[in-house]
Amino acid sequence: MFISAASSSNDWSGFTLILPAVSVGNVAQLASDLLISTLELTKAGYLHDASILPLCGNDPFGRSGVTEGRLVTSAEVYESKQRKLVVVQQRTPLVKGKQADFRRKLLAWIKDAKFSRVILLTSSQSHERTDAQLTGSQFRYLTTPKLDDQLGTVLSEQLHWKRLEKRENQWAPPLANEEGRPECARGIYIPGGGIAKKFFDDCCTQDIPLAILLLFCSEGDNIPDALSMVTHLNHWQQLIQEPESTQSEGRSPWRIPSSWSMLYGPQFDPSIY
Amino acid sequence: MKPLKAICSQTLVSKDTQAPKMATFFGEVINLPSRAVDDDEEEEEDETQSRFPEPELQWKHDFQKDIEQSPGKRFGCEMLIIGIGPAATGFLDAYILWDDPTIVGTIDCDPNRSEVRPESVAGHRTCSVYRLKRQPEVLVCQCKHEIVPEMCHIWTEKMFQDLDTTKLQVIVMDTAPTTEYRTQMSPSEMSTPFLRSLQSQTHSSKLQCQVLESPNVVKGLSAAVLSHCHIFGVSCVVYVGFLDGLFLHTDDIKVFNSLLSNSPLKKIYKKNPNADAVLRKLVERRALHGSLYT
Repeated sequence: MFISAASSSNDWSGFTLILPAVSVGNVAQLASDLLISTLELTKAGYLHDASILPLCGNDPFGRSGVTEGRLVTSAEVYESKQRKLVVVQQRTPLVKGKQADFRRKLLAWIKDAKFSRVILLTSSQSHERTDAQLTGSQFRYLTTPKLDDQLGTVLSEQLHWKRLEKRENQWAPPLANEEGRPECARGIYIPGGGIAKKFFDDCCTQDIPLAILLLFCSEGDNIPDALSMVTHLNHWQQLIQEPESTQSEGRSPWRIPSSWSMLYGPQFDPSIY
Repeated sequence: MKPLKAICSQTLVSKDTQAPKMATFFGEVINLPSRAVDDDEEEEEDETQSRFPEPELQWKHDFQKDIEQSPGKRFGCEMLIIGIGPAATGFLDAYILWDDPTIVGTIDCDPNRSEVRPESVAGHRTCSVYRLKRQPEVLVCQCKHEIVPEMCHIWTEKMFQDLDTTKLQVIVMDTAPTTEYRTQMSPSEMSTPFLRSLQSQTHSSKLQCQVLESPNVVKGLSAAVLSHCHIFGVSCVVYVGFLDGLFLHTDDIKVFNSLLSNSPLKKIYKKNPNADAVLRKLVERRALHGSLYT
């Protein structure tokens, strides 16, 4: 599945892998774009597989100018050796019926590359929130037991993050197919979260240190959600220095990539009036 | 009385939860589809099964023999031209394939095909691969109908599996509607049809038109072929003609004309005195088929 762009070795032991799940509002994919653009990550290779729909474009981060023609494909891997960070950008959805195949290959690659930690970014349908989730922070996290062992209470006590609530409401119907799931994943429900739920199950079973970062949202202009996601991630991973809030009114430290221009269509044609 | 919360939780039930049940007039209990289940792509039992059969590549007997006799059992192809859609295939029919080419293979892409079918009944979604008599190291693949995006990756792998790509130059011709072209220009300022290109990293020949500007993208088969070539170091260029209008016009097909006077198509282009007639016939035939009142 992973094909290296350079001949250098891709042993990523000690590195953190950040993955987007194609989920509601494309929040995770937008967040990946912000990370790659802001941290100026370099391309390390491609995820090339029949389970990912094809797409090609030109120079999404606008660093080289349009004429150079830096091709971009549907799923790419970017890295920063200095930061010990690898970020995946997946620009198209998965082929229906091949999600399991994709997850299996992804896990094989994660083990093969020896990543020491995996962070999956995703989002979940806001209309499926429970009463307790309606107010307050819309950000949640999940960790596998293996990562809990490494981190302890950093996320919950130092960062004051809320763990995603399990669906244990006595009034709600029981979740289906719970028997086959690992103990730590039971009751976890991420509607609209793409591969997140099943990937969490896989990582629990296979003892992979995984954190899922999640935002509740609806489809629309999801740029604020993506900024919120990377800001949360930055609080934990300390990727960039965020300016003091008093000095930075209206200015985001995150660099918006050039491919986001006309994200919601071009301006209207004034000649129609 | 049933608590309100219980009623709400039943209306918001999703695929993961048990679907709400309802007893009909006759007493049997049926599962109701929930309005809340929309495009959640999680699949359960059948997630290992693909929805479409894989494309099937079939080389003709003589060409298969040529492949087997080639070094490494891979055909030393120098140029592969892939035409996608009516305008690009029409263009290739009129200017490149008019000179009696040999058909050397087919790729069956019909998503609804059954497994048992006599060979004589070729599906209309079949792509044909031709070999030029005057330039036998050139292959031309004609895909007259859209290939579902889910099939494109495997289509590309099959197409390239028997080709030696060391000297290969791939040219893909595709079209897209101008409504999909993202630009700050107003539609009245655009002169259609126009051509844009995207190239793989190893493509070194001069491009015949402007590069497709970000954030525009290509999808489907042309993206699958270009990605494959880019990743595996094959020289490839995709030319996308942006067309306006509901019906195909001869001017739309001629959007690719500038490619003929330059390398590499210049090497294989031989003037067709009847090109205009071929194009006119193609456009007329499509106009007739496209009409509701025929």
